[in-house]
Amino acid sequence: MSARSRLVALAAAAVLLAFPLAPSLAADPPPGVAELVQTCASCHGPEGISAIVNTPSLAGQPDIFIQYQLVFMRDGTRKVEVMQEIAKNLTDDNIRELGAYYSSLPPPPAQPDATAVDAGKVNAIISQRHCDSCHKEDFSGQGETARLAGQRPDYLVKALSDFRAGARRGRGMGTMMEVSVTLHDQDIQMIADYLAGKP
Amino acid sequence: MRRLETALSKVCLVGAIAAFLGGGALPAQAQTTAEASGLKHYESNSKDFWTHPPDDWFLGDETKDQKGLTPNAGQPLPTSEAELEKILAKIKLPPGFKISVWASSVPQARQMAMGDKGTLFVGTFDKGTVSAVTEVNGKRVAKPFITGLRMPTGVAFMDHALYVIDIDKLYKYDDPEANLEKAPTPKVVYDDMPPYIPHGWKYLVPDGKGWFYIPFGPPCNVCLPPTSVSQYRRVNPANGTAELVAVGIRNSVGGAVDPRTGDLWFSENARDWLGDDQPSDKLNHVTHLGQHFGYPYCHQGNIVDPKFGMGHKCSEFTPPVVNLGYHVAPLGMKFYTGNQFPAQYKNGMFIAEHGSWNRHKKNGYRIVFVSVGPDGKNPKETVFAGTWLDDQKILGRPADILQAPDGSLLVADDQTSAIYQISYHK
Repeated sequence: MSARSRLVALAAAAVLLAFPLAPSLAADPPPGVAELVQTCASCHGPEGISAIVNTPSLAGQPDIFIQYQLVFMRDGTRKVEVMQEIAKNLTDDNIRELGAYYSSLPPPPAQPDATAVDAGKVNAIISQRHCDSCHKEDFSGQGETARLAGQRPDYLVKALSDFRAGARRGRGMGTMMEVSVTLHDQDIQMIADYLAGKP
Repeated sequence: MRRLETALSKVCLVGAIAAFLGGGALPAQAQTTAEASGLKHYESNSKDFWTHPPDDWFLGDETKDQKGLTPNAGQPLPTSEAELEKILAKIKLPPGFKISVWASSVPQARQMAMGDKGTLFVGTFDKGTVSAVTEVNGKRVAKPFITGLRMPTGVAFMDHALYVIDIDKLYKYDDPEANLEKAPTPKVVYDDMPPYIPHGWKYLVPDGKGWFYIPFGPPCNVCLPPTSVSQYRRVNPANGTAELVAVGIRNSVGGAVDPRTGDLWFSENARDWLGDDQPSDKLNHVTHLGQHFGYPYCHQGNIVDPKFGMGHKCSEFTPPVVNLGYHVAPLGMKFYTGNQFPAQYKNGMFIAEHGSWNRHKKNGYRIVFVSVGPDGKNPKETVFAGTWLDDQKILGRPADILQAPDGSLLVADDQTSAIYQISYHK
């Protein structure tokens, strides 16, 4: 078994321990997609809301954003080890269906484990960087820009840190690096907690 | 610096950070005002900006009235053939004309050029590839023929060779149809060009005498551009010599030579952030060497730029022959010389309008036809095919026109990644 498949199996096993074997899915996906979505749900959660550290919630992400990320993972532009085996077999239609399905799911509620933050301090950082121009004022995202509101705070920390380090490939790299390059680790944590706590 | 025009939501602007990272010196007061009002602002008048523009450089002149407008997100995947048929069923054409799918899944289809053996070569926007479309078992299939380039938007086929223009390099690929599995090693036939990426993606206009007219766009929305851009040059690929043809031009990504006169006609995208209803994009006619078409001082023939007018009057410059419409984004164009279409289309121009982003109500997303005298007088413009809009939802974006050997028109759409064919039957 390759290292990758072992990792996927482990991740899947970890989740299956926490959830029933065949989780009932929110808003039944169309027949062709149901099987695919079962695979996704094993890490990303049965309602697209992730319970796994560093694994993002997908529910309520914009359709085009999801499609782009899957296309990048399929081409190898964006390297996410656990996704590699899964993404490489996706057809164009699979990608469109997954984008449509996940974007239709109710977005994650404000994260319960997000630490309360000083909104004033965060807004000072955020407004200077015009985050809302792309991510919108309610941080629900649009087009190729991700929804941030209600995302797992650990994942937001990971994503912002990856952008800051230039490690995240795909669209938005230049802009995101520019806005994050002067952020300290504690700023990133604070921003992540703030966004996670947004409805 | 790849995802520019179609880089939608990469738009997080940071005037302060841009300045901090060397985005250009900004008078402290202007910066504070822009910052305080929450509007995006970049100082785009410096070499530093032109060589290292932020990813969202085109958003740097945001106004209160147009706050929040951003370019279209584009599509990660080509539109499926079934969906294309549905879209084309809605496109309106004059009586006797019909539009169909000629090829689907032609990634980011931009300028087209047909080879001697019927292979269609197609540029892309930022995928870095040039596709070759051939017929396989009765179906047209696009395959990447050239890869590893940056923004090879412009292609041309001349004297058994494929020419590709990639920002600041004009490549020649000899006899490309000999082996479509492996492109020949290219020769760089002209590279005396500036490296600026913003508005640096180009189009090739063969002049019929073995040379190309090539447009050069300014690396900004509105600025006093470097003198190596904002112009058209005529370039001889045989020996790399070139002449300066016309200046004062903003972003042109389409042009064609009038078969009646040999004159260059070209489409031009006017500046953004002046308003939903100003300025208009243009169709221009070059009648003599060294003509100045107004940019950055004057727009649409009669608007003096509020900041870059610099004391000039619009009467000093050559006005457009046709103001095509606000933010319609005219790109590829061709004079019609075929016999398939009715006689009134002969020697007129078909222009692809890519469609607006800097306007609240979308404009363009269609093909227009312009007939005009060889002297440039009495222009008449009509909408020929359109629109690729469903209310405000974008269904497609025409980017180039090519006349096929049978006299039908091929239309490249870089949003749906498809090529359409428009034919006429009595």
